[in-house]
Parts: sequence; structure tokens; C-alpha cells
Amino acid sequence: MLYFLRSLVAFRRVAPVAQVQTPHVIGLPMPRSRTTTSAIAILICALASVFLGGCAPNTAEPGGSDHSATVQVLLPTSENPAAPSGDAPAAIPPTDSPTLITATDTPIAATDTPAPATYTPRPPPTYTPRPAPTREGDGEREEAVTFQAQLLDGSVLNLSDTLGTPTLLAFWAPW
Amino acid sequence: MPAVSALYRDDLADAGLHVIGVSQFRTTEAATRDFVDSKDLTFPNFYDPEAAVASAYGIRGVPTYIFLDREGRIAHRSQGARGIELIESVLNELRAE
Repeated sequence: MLYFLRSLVAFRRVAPVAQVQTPHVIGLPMPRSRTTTSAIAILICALASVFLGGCAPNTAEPGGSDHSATVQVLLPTSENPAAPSGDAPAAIPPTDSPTLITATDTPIAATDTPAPATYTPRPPPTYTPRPAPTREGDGEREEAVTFQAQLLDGSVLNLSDTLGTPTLLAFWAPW
Repeated sequence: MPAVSALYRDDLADAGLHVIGVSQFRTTEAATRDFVDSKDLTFPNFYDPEAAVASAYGIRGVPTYIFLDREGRIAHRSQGARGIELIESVLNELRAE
């Protein structure tokens, strides 16, 4: 406020009566007098002083410049469930905090993530293994018919005498 | 039969395997003897005039081979002209059992 008052005093010294001429037609350049230009400059300076003067005390408060620390305190965590008491500036979340921007800009997973495709998995194939192929004669073997015969050399052959040794019976004819 | 005889003479006899020849079907004992002598069949043969043994084994034609295992059971049957390799392999399998 001190800067604002000083600006007003200076303004009155330069131009006791502010003569701000408004253009007749909006948008057309109008010639400005020296007094008008000075008044505008002083007004801008006064506004800047007011703005800077109003912001200066907040930045000067302890902990005010540390946004990350402030955000950490405000985070609704289980470590700090209680809301900050009072109207201290530290309790006001800064609007330009990167953390808050991130929080507001982060898309909601439920809306941005497409719903996963639902499907019913196929049951595993079941099969019964086929029995191994067997050769002719495999499996349960038939008992051979025993016989007794007289060989061409006059000796007697008893098939039961060949037990214990693989035997080939060759049926043939002399033609 | 000459091939079987050669196999028997060269391999099967030394391996202790038995080969028994059965002659029948519209022949005589004399014709059988002549054939055995002319072909030098060294394995035991007999003449089955009534085809009794052939009927007991269900023989429908010649040549037919019946392979018996060590326990006297029919392990394999082969009908028709086959290579001597089949006879040798089957007998070797039965011998390995």
C-alpha cells in the first residue's frame, strides 16, 4: 500500500487532473498526449506495486516457498489424517503446484483404460492314448499243437522236445 | 525251402534253433524224399500224408511258417513266399526273449 500511495502522489504531481481521452471509435489508434501516456505508465506502475506488495508477505512466510513440503503435508495419507488447522497460507494448496497439476491431468484409469476382453478359456483337450501297435502274433500267444511224427531219416520227432528253444515249422510241398 | 535250408545250415543250427519241415498237399513220400535229396535240405523233415498236422495248425497254403517261442506257443505266423530276412529276424527276436 505504501507503494500505491507514493504512486498516487507522484501521479497527482504530474497530472493533477487525469485527462484520459477515450477513443471515439474502439479499435482506432488515437493520438495520445504526454499527460495521458504518463498517467497510463504511472497507473501500470501503481498496479504492479500493489500486486507485488500483496504477494510479498506470503512468500516471506516460513515454509511458504517450499511447495513440495506443503503438498506432502496436505496429502491425505494415513500418516496425517487430520486436516490442517487454521487458515495459514501453508495449508492452502498452491494452484501452480506441479503435484496438483499432475493429479488433475492424470487420466482416470477407469475411464481411459479399455475394459479387458473377457473370454472363457477352453478346457484342456482330453484324449485316451491309443495302445501301441502290436505286430502280428503279439499279445496272448496260442499254445501250439503238439504232435509226434516220423522223420524221413527214420527218427521220431516229438514237438515237446523242442521246448526251451524257438522253433520254426515250415509247411511246404515239393512242387 | 532251399533258402531256409541254407539259413539253417549256416546260422540256425549253430544257434540251437529248430526247423522242422512238413510236406503234404497232393504229394507222396517218395516225391518228398527226392526233393529233400535234390535240394540238400539239411533240417529235419517228415511227410504228413493225411495233412493232420497242417489241419491242426490251420494251414491253407504253402509255404507257411509257424514260429514257436521257447514255451511252445505260436509267436508268429507267415504265409506266402517271404524273404529269408523275415525268418531270420523273427527267430532272432524269439531267441532274445
